[in-house]
Amino acid sequence: MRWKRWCAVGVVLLVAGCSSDAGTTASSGDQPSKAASKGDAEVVALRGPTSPTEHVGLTTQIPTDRASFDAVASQLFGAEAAKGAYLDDLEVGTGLHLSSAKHPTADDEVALTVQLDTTGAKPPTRTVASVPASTATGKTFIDAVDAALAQTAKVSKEDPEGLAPWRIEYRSRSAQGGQVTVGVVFDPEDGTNLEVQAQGPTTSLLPDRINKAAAEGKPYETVYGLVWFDVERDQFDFFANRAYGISAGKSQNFKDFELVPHNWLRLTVTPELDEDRVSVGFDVITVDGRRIPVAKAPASLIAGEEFMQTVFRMAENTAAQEKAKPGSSTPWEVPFYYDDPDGGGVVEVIAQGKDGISQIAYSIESPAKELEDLPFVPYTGKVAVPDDWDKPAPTCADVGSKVATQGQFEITYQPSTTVKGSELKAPLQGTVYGSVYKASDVKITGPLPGTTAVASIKDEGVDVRNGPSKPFALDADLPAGNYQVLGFLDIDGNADPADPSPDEGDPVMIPIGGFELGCAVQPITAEFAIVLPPGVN
Amino acid sequence: MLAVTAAAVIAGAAYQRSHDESTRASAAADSSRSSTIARSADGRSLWLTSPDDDQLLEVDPSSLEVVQAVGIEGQPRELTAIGDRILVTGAQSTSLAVVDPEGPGGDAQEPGTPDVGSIPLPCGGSRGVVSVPASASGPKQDLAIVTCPTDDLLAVVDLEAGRTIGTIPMPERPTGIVRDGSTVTVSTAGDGHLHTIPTSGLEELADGKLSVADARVLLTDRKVWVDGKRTASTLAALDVGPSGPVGTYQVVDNERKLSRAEIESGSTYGSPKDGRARLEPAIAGACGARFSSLTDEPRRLSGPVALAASPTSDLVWVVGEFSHSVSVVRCDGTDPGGESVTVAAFDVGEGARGIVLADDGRTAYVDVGFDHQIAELRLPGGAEDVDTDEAIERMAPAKVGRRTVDDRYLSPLAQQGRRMFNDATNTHLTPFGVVTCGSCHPSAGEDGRSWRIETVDQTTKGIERKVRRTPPAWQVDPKVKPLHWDGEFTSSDDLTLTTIQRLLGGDGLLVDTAAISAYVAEVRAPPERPVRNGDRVTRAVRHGKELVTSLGCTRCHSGEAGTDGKAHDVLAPSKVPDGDLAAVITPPLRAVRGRAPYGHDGRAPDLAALLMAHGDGKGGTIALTPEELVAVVSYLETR
Repeated sequence: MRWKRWCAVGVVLLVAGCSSDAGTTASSGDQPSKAASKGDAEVVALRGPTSPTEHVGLTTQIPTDRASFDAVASQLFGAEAAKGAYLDDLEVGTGLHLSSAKHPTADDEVALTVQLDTTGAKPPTRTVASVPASTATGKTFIDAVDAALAQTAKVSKEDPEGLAPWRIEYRSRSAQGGQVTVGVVFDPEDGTNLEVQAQGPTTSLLPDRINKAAAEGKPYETVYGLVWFDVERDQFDFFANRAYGISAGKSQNFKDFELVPHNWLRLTVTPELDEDRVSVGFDVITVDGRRIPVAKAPASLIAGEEFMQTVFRMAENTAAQEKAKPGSSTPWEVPFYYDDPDGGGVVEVIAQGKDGISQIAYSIESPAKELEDLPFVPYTGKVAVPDDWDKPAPTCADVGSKVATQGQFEITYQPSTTVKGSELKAPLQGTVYGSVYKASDVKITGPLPGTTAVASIKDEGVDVRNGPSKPFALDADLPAGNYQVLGFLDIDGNADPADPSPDEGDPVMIPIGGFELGCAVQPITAEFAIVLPPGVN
Repeated sequence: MLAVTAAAVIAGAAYQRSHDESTRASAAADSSRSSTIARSADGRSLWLTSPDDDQLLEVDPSSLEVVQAVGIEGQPRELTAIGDRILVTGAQSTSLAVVDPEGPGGDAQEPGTPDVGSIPLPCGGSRGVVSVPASASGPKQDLAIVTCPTDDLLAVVDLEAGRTIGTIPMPERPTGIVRDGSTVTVSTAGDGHLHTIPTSGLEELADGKLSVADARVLLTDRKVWVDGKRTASTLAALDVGPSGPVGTYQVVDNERKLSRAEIESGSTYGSPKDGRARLEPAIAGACGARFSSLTDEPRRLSGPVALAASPTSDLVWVVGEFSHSVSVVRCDGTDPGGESVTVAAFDVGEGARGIVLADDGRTAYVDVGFDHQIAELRLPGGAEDVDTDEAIERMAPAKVGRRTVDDRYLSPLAQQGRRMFNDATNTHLTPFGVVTCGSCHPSAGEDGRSWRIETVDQTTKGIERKVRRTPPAWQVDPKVKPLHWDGEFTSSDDLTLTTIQRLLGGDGLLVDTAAISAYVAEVRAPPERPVRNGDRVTRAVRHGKELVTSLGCTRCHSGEAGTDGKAHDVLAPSKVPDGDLAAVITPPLRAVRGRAPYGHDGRAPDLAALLMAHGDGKGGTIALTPEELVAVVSYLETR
């Protein structure tokens, strides 16, 4: 069995282009809620407080290199920002902007903001998230990235085959301003990218709490790192035993161990055998030789042994599968998570296997450092709710008809705001072709197999350019009940009347909702929901 | 020499001087206190120093906005008032600034351009200042008394004549000062003593009837802390309450040797021992000397740098520079040997350094130096009745006024380092939250103490015990290696991280030593003591300087950094237990006059004793005649 890198999949955050099946372990960004106050909890809550919430976020990447990164990061929350020269606007994707500014109440912090330009809505520019960040932690992040980039450049020059993926992130979390993560991601195949993740504040869905912060507490920041490295099976056995096994004697523990090829990251394992655990610490060695401890968490010997045995089991399975039929092995992942969130941070060791190839990663996150909060970032879009949205359905008398056991539909057509906002191949006029089905015969995917329409529609000269069409009386007596109307507006006039079918760009109805027939003449409004996308019929 | 600028800046057009005495900062007629912040007599103005940009600021107490800024060079430090004038000391100044905020002929209705004068002091840097107004029973002219910690003296200044009329030698770093009626009380940081001086005696100095040497007779003193083997350190500030003077300081448990088990368990000065911090804040005066419940986070206090005694009750407000807090404690004199109950506490921000109370004794204004803000605190009703066991929470200020400062002395990175250096709230720096870098290096200097350092040698597994005198942090020059007495550190980053992990007990997580290194590299040492031309001292100084060169001192104490960075065997075996060191890295001579006791083990109480012991390490000493010794000491006392 080979133990090689196969893909830079982190457990906590996903690298673009790699597997997204990473849900088996806890995100260090979602550290378990403490059951009691800081530092004195003996148990942690299985679930935190529950309340309906929502949030919107984004992730984007742009290529970068050390010079570009240093210039941006210095203004973002580094030396230039500390001097008051902030990052005015970095476009991290079309219409996506990252900037920093003076913090209103803390001299040693800045305000990080991610904004987006809409594609036509108002307001045209939205703030996705705006969070505090300290220049102290910002500098540590920059120093760590510089060290990683320098080492990557060195390995790239001396031993390109020895390159391995890594990512380093600066993370800020705020109840009021949302979340911003600025990261640098390296993959030998994809190169180096600057990644920005932004998420608006988690907002409440409780009555009268819409668009208000759902969380409370001081904002905080961390530095996160993820490194992958190749290790042979026996090496894993030896190292894991040394780190977590009983053989972790005082004189033979890891001390300032270089995680090759990420030599800038050093591992020190300090036995605390009288407490049945070890302390696992990580230091960053900066380009100028400074040492910055970034995370330190305890791991129990017994859990470490369990981790080793689990990895061995999975590895043996893979070996057997590959022996029986090359290429038949199933993917696996074994995480070993341990933390001291308030004290020392989070560590996670990840073993993975896929296609007979395996890899080990360390994921670390520094302890949280509290910050001073910024104002709440609300959703600022405009949503017009019709005044009569909850008006009771009109009675038959209201529509000038009478209650009946059978009747006819009188159909008015109108385009949705989506259709009106789409790039149309022709004006919104033409012939409507459609069918009426019993509602029970239609699902979201369309009519069920074996069902037939109860009536057909062909309405020529329909014009919805300036609003709803004139009513169309469907000449078909139908029993009272629930129906679904499906159809399209042949705006380019190329449908075959004998077998009409929409083509790309025709406005079409979609089977959402339905219509109740209960009057002798039943007026309804059928909406062209979308224009037909390419490749759909 | 204090350079003076009178650049007055009027900020805030809406501010109207509708009051008669708004610029008349003054203390009550029968007392004078020294702090970085003061209230005008009518309470309509606050005055504070802004050392980062060399300003004296007038602040509207209702809006907490700056309404006037007066330029005063030399890192203005503390201030007091006498009549219309404000007296300002300076950390980097050799003068006392005398400011008339409304200018000659100006008044509150029609203020003129502020007038800033300076009176030369025989000090390289000054700290506290009190006024002694002319009176029938006291001096015939207005006087000021200034504490000069680096020069170990008090300067008595005649404000009318504009000159220093005398000095009162006061070893062990005079820091805090307060005048209550006809009595001036001075605290010395090095030994935790309180000294009292009758103002009537100052008249004789002014009249020339009392020589400087004789002025010692004015002093009386009493030790303020006796608690087993604990000793006082860094008595920082004084005020006067209804029960007399009160002061804040730190106490040190630095005598007891730790056992191997204690050392291996990570015992450090940052770890409490038997429930007590080995370097903890305390109160002097009619109070329980210890603060109650340092283990109780809301009540935790570190870096007692200033205090204010309520004029209306037995409460004392203590500013914790390192804990970013203010604690209000009961000081009723019922148990001076016990604990003072903390009845309320506030979070105020980083670098809190001065405080003044309103007349009601329930409203405080705090000068928050690193954050460049003023915090207004209000004591809630019922706080006086809180007892020891009652839980309290730290409160937020009622109001905060911020200002933008363009720091003239420190780069942004060094400012960041200054915050870390003086931060006891970061558990990665200091786990218990009481001891931090600034505890032993106040203002990036040193505390005058020799500290016991005990570690397990990772190679031999033996216990290494040594006693080392605290070197000033501003001595760390990144260009000079190796560092420290033993030369065991190859960089200031290495020195910083090791100190955090070994002495403070922190894990150092996310502590970027580059910031602290930048701070200690940029922070300034106390300025040289001025040499007065034309007197005998000058001749001795000149001769001493020549001797320092001719005797070869500058071969080792050389270069811009004042050291060759090499180890030399120049001292006889130490008589201090665990004080031996085979060879010592040459310390620079910068501000050497204020760094007693001398030697890596603190063996020499003064420069003369050090010079007498300074030799080849095998018994031979530098051969100096008594006249040469006086000359060299005279010269070094100007450095």
